Amino acid sequence: MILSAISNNLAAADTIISLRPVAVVLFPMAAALVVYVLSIKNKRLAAFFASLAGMATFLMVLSLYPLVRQGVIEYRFYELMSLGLSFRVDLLGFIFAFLASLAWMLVLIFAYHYIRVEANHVLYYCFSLLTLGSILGVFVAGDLVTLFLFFEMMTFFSYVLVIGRLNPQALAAGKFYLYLGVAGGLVLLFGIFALYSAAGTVELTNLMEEMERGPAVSLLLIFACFFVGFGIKAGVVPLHLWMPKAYAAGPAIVNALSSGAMIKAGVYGVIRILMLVFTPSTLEPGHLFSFAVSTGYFVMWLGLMTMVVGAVIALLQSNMMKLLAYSSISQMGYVFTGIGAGAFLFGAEEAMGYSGAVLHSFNHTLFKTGFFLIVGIIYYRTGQLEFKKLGGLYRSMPMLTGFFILYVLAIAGVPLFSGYISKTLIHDSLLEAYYLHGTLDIFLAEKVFIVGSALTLCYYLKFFQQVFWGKEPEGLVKQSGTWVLYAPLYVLALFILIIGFFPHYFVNQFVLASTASFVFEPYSIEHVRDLAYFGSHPLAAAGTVILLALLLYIPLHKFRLYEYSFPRWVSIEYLIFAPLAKIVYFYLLRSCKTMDGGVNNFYAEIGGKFLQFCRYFGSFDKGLDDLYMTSGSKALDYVKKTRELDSTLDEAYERTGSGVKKFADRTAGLDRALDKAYESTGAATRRMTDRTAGLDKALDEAYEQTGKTVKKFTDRTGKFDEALNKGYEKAGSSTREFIDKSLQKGESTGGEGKEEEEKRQGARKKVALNPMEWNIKNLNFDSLLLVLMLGIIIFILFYFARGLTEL
Amino acid sequence: MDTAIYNFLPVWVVIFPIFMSIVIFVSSRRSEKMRDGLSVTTAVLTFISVVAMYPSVADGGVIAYTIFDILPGLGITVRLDILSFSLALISSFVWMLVSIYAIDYMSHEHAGDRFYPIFIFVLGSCLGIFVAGDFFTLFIFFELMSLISYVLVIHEETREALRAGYKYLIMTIIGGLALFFAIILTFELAGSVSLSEGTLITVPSTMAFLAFLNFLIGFGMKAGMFPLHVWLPDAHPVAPSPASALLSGIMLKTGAYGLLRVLFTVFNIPLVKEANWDILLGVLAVITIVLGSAVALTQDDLKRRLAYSSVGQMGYIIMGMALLNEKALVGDVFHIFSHALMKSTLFLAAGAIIWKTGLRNINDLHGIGKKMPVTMGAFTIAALAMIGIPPLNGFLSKWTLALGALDAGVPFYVFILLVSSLLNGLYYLPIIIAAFFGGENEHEGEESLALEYDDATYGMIIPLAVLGLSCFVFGLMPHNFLFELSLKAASFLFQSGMP
Repeated sequence: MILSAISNNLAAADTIISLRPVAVVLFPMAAALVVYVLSIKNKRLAAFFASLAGMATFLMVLSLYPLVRQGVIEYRFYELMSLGLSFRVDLLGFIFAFLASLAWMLVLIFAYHYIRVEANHVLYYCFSLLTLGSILGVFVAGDLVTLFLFFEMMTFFSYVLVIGRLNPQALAAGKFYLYLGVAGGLVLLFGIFALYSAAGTVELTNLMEEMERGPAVSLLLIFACFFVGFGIKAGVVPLHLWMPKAYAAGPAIVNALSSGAMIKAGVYGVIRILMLVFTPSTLEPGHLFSFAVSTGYFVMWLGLMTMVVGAVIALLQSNMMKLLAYSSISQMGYVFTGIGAGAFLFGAEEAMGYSGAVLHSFNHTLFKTGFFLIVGIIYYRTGQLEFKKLGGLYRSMPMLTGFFILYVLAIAGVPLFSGYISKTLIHDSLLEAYYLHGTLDIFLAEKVFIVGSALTLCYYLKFFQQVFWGKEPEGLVKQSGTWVLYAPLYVLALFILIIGFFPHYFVNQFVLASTASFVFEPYSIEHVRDLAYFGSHPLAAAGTVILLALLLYIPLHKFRLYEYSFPRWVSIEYLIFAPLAKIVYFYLLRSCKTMDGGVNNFYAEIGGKFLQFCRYFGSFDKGLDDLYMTSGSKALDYVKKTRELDSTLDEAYERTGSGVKKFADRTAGLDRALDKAYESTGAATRRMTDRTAGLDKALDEAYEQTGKTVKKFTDRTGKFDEALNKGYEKAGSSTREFIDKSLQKGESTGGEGKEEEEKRQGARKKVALNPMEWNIKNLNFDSLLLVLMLGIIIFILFYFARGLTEL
Repeated sequence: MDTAIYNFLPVWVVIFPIFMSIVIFVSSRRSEKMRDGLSVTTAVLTFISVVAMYPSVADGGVIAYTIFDILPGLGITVRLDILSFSLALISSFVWMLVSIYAIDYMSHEHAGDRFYPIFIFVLGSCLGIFVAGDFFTLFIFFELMSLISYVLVIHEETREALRAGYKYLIMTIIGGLALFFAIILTFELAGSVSLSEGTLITVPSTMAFLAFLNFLIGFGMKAGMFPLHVWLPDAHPVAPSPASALLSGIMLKTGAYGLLRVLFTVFNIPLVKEANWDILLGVLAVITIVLGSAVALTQDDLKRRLAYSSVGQMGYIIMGMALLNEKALVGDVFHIFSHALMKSTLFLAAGAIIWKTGLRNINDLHGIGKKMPVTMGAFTIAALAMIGIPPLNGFLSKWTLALGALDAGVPFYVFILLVSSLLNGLYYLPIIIAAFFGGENEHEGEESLALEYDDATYGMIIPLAVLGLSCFVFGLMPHNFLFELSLKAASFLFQSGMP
C-alpha cells in the first residue's frame, strides 16, 4: 500500500466521492445550535450534550480512516461561493483532523466539570463546537479558498472563546487576537489572490510551474503572504505576540484547545504551502528547486529562533499559563525546524524533517493539552495560577504529579516517551543536512537545537519545583477533583506511551503513509521507515540534552536566575510592533483626515472667496443703487418743487382768474348800465338829431353861397403862389452843386478805416450765433437723439424715484 | 405578454411612482394609514414591474425607442439593457424594503406628509436615470432625483441638517452643471448623446478630455469620489435613516452607473487606455478608498462612520471601472449590488438603534446586541461582509475585483483593497464586539444601560433581516441571480466598450 502510494503520486491515488468530510464539518456546528437551544432550559443538559457532541465528532472523524486508507476523499460543491467549495481529505488532513477532534473531545469532557469555575457556559460550549467545525473544515478543505473560508471562521469563532471571561483583560487580549487574526487573514487572502492569478487555480497541488507561467507576481511575495498568514496562527516568532496575551486571559479549557489544536491549523497550512504548493512537481535541480530549498533553509532558522526565544522567555515566566504559552511557541519552533529542514533537504532526506514535524505536531497536542488540563485542575482546586502562591502539591495531588512528570518526560524527549521519537526525527534531519552540506551554519543549527531542547527541560523543571515541590501554603487546596477531570489525562498518557514504545508502527502506518500526497524521494521514505530510534546515536543526543539541562538548571536555580524579568521595553512588541503600528496609524489616519479636512476647507475657502467676490459685486451694485436712489430723490425733490411752483402758479392764476371774473362781472354790470344809458341817450339824441337836421338844411344853403365867393378868392391866390415856386427852384439848384464838390474832397481822405470796420463785422457774424436764431429747424439728428436719451433718462429717473419713494 | 407591454414597462416604472407620489400627497390629507399603505404598495408594484422587465433583457435584448424629439438627435428616449435592468432591480428591491421599514420609523418623525410623496417621487426619478436612452434624458432625471432628494436630506430641519443640505445642494448644482457641459460637449463632438449608437467619441482630443473631465465631475460628485465626496459624510448622516439607506445604498450608484456608461458608451476602452484616463481614475479611486476607510476610523458618530465607509466602498467601484477588463467589471457590478445590500442594512440597523435608544455615539453602544439581537445580527452580517469575510457577498465582490486587478497587472490595487479591508475590520469590529460582548463591567451604572428596551418592531426588523440574509445568500451561492446578472452586464458592457 505504502509502496504503491510512493511510486504514484497524488493524481494516481484513488478518489472516493463522499459527503462525510462535509458532515464532519457541519455536525459540530449544528450541535452548537442544539446546545444553544438546550441551554435555555437546562444548562447542565446542554453541557452534557456538548461533551457527547465532541465524542460523536471524534467518532465521525475516526470513521473517515478506512476511506482515507483507500485513497483521497473528495467532495465538491460547485454551487457555493465563486469557485465552489471543495473538500478533500488525505492522510495528512486526517491526522490533523484526528488530533483536533481528539483534543476537543477530551477538553469538552474535562470542561463538563471544570466549567463550574468559569462564567458564560453557553458561550463556551456553543463557540467551542463552532470552532471545532471550522477547524475540521481547515483540515478537510480541498483548495485554498475553502481552507481560507474555514480559517477565517475559526479566527472569528475562537475570538469569542478567547474573550469568554468578558473581563477587560480578556477583551483587550481578544481584540489583539482578532485584529492580528484579521490582518493575517487578509495577508493570506492576498497570497491566495496572487496565487490564483498566477497559477489559475487554488488546488492544493504542486503549483510552482503554473505560477511561473502566469503573470509575474514574485514567488517570494506569494510565499511570504502565505507564511505570514499561517505563521500568525502558529505563533512563529516574531508573530507570536497574541499567544501569551490570549492565554493569560483565557481559561484552561480554551487554551488547551488553542494550543492543542488551533495553532496546528497554522502548522498544517505551512506544511501544505511549503512542501506541496511551493515545491516543483519534479525534484530536478533548477531555479524552482533552489527556491524551495532556500525557503526551507529560511523556515528552518526561523523555527530554531522561535524554539530558543520561546524557551528562554518561558523560563522567565511567573504564571503557569504564560509559561505554557511560551512553551507552545517554543514547541512550534521544533515543528517549523522540522518542516524547514525537510524542505531544505528536498531531493534528499525530506521525509525525515516532514515526519518529524507532523509527528511533533501530534505529540505536542498530546502533552500540551495535558499540561493545560493539569493547570486547569490546579486552578479548579486552588484558584491560583501564579508560581509564588503555589507549592508542594505532590502531597495533595500525587496522581496529578505523576501525570505531570510523564508529560515532562515526553516533552523533554526522554526515550520511550513520544517526544523522543519526533525530536529524534527532527534532530536527524538536521544531522542529515549537515552531512549533505557540511557547512558551519548547519552545524550550529544542530547545536542550537540541542540547547533549545535543554532549555525546554529547564523550564519544566522550574515548573515542577515551583508548583509540586517545596512547601504547600496553608489552605491552598479548596476543592477536590473528580474522575471526569482526570479521565482525559489517562487517554493522553496512553497515546504518549504507545507512540513512545512502538514508534515504527505509528510512524510507518500514519506519518509516512501521508507522504503519498507529496513528491518525496522514495529512498528518503525508506530511510525513515527503517530508522533505528533506539540506536546509540539518538540515545546519545537525548542524553546530552538531559545532561545539559541539568547543568543549566543548577545555576539557574541556585541564583534564582529564572525569576529575572526583562524590562518591558526589551520585548519585540515594544521595540518594533507598537512603534510601527503607531507610525502607520499616525501617518495613515492623520494624513487621510488632514486630506479630507483639507479638501473640505478648500471648498469652504473657494466658497468664501466667491462669496467675498459676490459681496464686492454687491457693494458695487449697492453703490449704483445708491446713485440712482440719490439722483432719483433729487429728481423727485425737483419734481416736488416744480409741482409746488406749479401749484402756486395755478393758485395765482386761479386767484387772478377769479379776480378777473369778478372784474369781468362788474364790467358786465357796468356795461349793461352803460348800454341802458346809451340806449336812453340814443333816443334823446335821435330826437335832437331830427331837430338839428332842420337847422342843418338852413345852414347848408347859407354855406353854399359863402363857398362860391371863397372859390373865386382862392383862384386868385393860386396864381401868386406859382410865381413864388419858380423863384425858389432856381436858388436851390445852385446850392446843391456847391455841396457835391465839397463831399468828393472828404471821401478821398477817410476810405481805409471804413474797410476795416466792414471786415470785423463779418468775423463776428461767423463766430457768434445769435441765440435768437435757435429754433427747431436748426436741430440735426444727433442732437435729437441726445435730447431723446436725456429725456428717457430723466423719465427713468423720475419713474425710478417715484417707485422708490413709494417703496 | 405582448411586445407593446414590454416596451411600455420601462416608461411605466418611471411614470407610475411619480404619479403615485401625487396620489400619496393627496391621500395624506385623508389618513396616515392610507398614505403609508399607498407608499408601500407603490414600491412593491414598482418592484414587480421592474422584475417583469427581465424577460426582455435576459438574453442580451435591448429595448430602445424615442418618445419624442426636442431637436434632431436630442429627445426623450428610453433604453433598457441588462445593466440598466440590474440597477433598476436592486434599486427597486431596496426601495421596497426601505418603504416597509419607513412606516414604523417615520411614525416617530414629523412631516411624514412631506416625506412619503418625495420618497416615492425619488424612486421614479432614480429609475428614470436607469431607463433613460440618452444622456439628455438621463440628465433630466439625474437632476430631478438630486434636487428632490434634498428634501429628504434636510427632513429633520435641524441646523445641522440645513447646513449639510445646503452643502449638498451647492455641490449637486455644480455637478449638474458640469454634467450638462459634458453632455453639450459630447453632442458637439459626436452629434448625438444617445446610448444606443455605439461609441460616440473615438478620437482623443482636448475637447474629448474636457468632456470626460466634466462627466467625471458630474457623476463623480454623486458617486462620492475624492475630492468631490465632501457633501456625502455630512448629508447622509443627517437624513432620517430610511433616506440615508437609500442615499448611500442606491443613489450613490447612479453616479457609478453614469461613469460606467461614460467609459463604455461615450468613449471606449482603447481610447481611455490611450489617453491614460484610466490612470487618473485609478489614482482617484485609490485615494478615495484609503481616505474613506481611514477617516471612517476616526469618526465616533455611527452614521457618520457608515457614511465615510460608503466613500471608501465607492472607491472600490471606481477602481473596478479603472481596471477596464471584464473580470473587474463583474466585480464592479457585483459590488454595486453588494454595497447596496450591505450599506442599506447597516444604515437601517443604525436607524433602528437610534429609533429605539436615541444613541448615535459608538462608545455608547455597549451591550446593545443583547437587547436588539436581530438588528445587531443583521448589522454584524453586513459589517463582516464589508470586511470581506467569506462566505458573504462582500468577499465575492472583493475576490472578483482583486482577480480583475491581478489580470490587469496591478497587484498594488489588491494591496489597497486589503488595506482597506483591514481598516474596515478596525472600524466595524469594535462596534460588534462592544454590542455583543461589551460587558456591563465597563459601563456600570451608566445611563445608557439603565434604559430598558428590546428589539425594534417587526416592521423594522423584517426588512433588516431580509437585507442581512441577502448579504449571506448572495455570497454563498455563486450562481445566484445577482452574480449571473453581474456576469451578463459586465460582458455586455465590455462588448459595448470594445470597438
